[in-house]
Amino acid sequence: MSSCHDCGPAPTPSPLTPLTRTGHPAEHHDRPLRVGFVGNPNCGKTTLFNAYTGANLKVANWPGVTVERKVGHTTFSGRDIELVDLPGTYSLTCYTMEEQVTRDYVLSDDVDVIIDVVDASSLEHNLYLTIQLLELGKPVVVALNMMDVVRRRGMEVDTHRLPEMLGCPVVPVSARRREGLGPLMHAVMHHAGHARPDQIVHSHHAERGLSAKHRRYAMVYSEGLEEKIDEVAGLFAGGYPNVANPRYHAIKLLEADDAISRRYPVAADDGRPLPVLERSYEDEFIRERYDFISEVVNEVVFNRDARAAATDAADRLLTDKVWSIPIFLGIMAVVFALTFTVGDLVKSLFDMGLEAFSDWASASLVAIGASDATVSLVVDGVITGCGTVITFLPNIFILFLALAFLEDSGYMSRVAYVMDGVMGRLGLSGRAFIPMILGFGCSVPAIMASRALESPSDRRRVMLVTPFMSCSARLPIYILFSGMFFGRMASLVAYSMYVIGIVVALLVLLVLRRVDVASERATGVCATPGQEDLLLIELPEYKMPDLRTVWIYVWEKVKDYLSRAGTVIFVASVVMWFVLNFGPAGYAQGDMAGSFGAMLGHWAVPVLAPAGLGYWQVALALIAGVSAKEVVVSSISVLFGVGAASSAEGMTQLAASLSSIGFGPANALALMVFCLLYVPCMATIATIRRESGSRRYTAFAVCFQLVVAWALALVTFQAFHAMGL
Amino acid sequence: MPRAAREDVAEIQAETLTSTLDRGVMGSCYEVEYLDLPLATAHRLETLGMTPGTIVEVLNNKSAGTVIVRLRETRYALGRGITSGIHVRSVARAGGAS
Repeated sequence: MSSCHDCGPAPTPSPLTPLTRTGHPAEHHDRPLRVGFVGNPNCGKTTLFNAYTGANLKVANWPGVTVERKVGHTTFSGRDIELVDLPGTYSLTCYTMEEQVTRDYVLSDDVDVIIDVVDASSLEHNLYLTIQLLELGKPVVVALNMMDVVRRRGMEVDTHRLPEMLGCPVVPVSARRREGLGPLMHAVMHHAGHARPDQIVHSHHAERGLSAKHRRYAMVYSEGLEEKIDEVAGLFAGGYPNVANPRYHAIKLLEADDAISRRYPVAADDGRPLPVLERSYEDEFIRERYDFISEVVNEVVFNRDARAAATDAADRLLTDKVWSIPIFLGIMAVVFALTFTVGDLVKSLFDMGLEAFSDWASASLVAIGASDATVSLVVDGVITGCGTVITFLPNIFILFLALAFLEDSGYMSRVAYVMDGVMGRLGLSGRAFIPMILGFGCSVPAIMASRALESPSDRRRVMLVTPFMSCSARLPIYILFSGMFFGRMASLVAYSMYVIGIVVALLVLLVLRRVDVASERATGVCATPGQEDLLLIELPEYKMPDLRTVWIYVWEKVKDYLSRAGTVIFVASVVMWFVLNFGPAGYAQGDMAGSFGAMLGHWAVPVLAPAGLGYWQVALALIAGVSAKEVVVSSISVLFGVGAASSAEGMTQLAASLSSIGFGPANALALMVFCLLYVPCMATIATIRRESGSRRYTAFAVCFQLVVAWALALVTFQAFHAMGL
Repeated sequence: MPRAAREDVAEIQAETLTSTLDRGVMGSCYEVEYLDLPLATAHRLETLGMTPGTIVEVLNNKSAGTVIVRLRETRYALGRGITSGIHVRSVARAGGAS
């Protein structure tokens, strides 16, 4: 069945590709049937997509996780089907970049059938998008997901009456349990090409003499609105004969939809503006849609008052005004404690394995007559560099396992509410904290998640500070250096790096806020309009984490970590070995002091010396660490020739080597702070560039992070050095 | 009772009946009267079902006015910038749907 790839940025589109009258998609059997998964955030689109394609896309119940469209393939009854997973949206009116991606896709000719994934346990709120999708005039099949939750709560949904009222197929499914997948795809195949609705049976506004429309449209508005729709649709059809569905476009024009109004201006026959389009009727449309939705829900949902009492009880504690922040910090402390303690237990096995492998490789190479340089390259360069990074895998695994449990349980979206007061004082909503939390995993998706924020200025501020959150690549640095210099306090020191990252990020946001406020006072112009607390986030029901979802999350992270070890870190280790073993005089025969690496390191020493990092070896490792943060650890291992630096023996040996050049605990703290705050990696820089669309901003962000890292490392070193550490 | 005092009481009673959602009491239900918010924010809320006449239940309320509400069987966290613009009327009925 199946493959999946990241489609990258949205289809170049056509902000609004017209719904052309040409061609009938279902008739083109020479190409795959194109099916798009559309739905509200947290309704199970990605889980369903994964179930069909066998893909392992990350699933989460908070906004900002699916920010791009993802394409996968499957086959059904011998027909190739291209499946597209889209970011969640509540309506076809866009407020964020991710919603724009979805709207562009469903409006384009790229989709043959839309699967509207609906959370059956929250039908009233999901049907709003369904009605808008039906208005598009494209084939729509409703996948009624989470029927297991409906049953568990004691609710019932009439799955025979619902399709009669909507005029499209409705198929009950459970994406998590992989139930109903066959019938759903059967309905898709059967419905492809059926843009006209199935038979509609309901009495909505029937008394107003609109029965002809009721046979054609699921959603029929009041007489006043229908008259306006007819007037605009008539003019639209005359002005744009090749664009299908004048009714949909007329509704959007009457709603004063920006994009549609710009692309398809409609005027009276004499060219003058249409009086009916002089104001927006969006309020009226929304209210009438919800009136209809209430009618539908009253007919098809039974025992609606059944509620998730467990979620209400948990929320009373976890979002308590006094205890919520201490609980959040406590939970994160437990996550990191598990990472350091349980992870370290398993890591010792990896250390032994690395040592044994290193000895075996060395002996084997010598046995086959390899030269000293070759043995050194393989053992001291590749195995030491990559191997040291791989030995931290257990810690990384535990960290992501714990984060995955938290995410899938439904807790993470509560953090936006918990942190809302703090973020509000910084001129941001609690929702801005979500990308920052994602930064604990990896800065790249975290920066992309800032798309879920509505204001461009908010996005830029969040992108600037998100790299201050400790990503998993920094974890090996903390474990290694805190383990070498702080003994029993090692876990506490490592945990403090995470707290320092959060505090620095919040302080930077505070300073930016103050600058904005001062600038507003000085100029009288509001630089950050609407910076009130506009938090708006859906809070899903708490649930037991789904093991498959957790596994997908953890495996993807582990795979990414291993692939980095085999690519970026491998190359960096080889390059590091070469720059340390070759100099102007050729092969240095182990004398690194005269190597190119030493020359490069010495160049940076004067700048780093005040921060306690004025050692050419450290400087070189930090420069190499710009490629990926794990490279700092692999470089240190290669530089000091310690094979299994993360083992107890390796740490002792490395600590002795560092101490011999005058590098002590204060230097180690400064190094950890510098690594916490300076540019995370090339991939993050590229992501900032892509997301901001500005080289200037990217250059500013890189310089800013370097300056902050240097300044904080300086303060840390000088303070602890003065205390005699 | 002096006239001024009677007016004060009437004002307090009116305030308890008609207020904004940021003053909502945990566990209480309110009927949405109208939204006094920037157009885009108001429309965003309306598309989520926060239309006049809808019943919302306040599940939590921080002192700063950030609240968790149940709206049409779905929970949302709403910041003070939003809740202070949602004008509501206290209703006795328990339940979340309109």
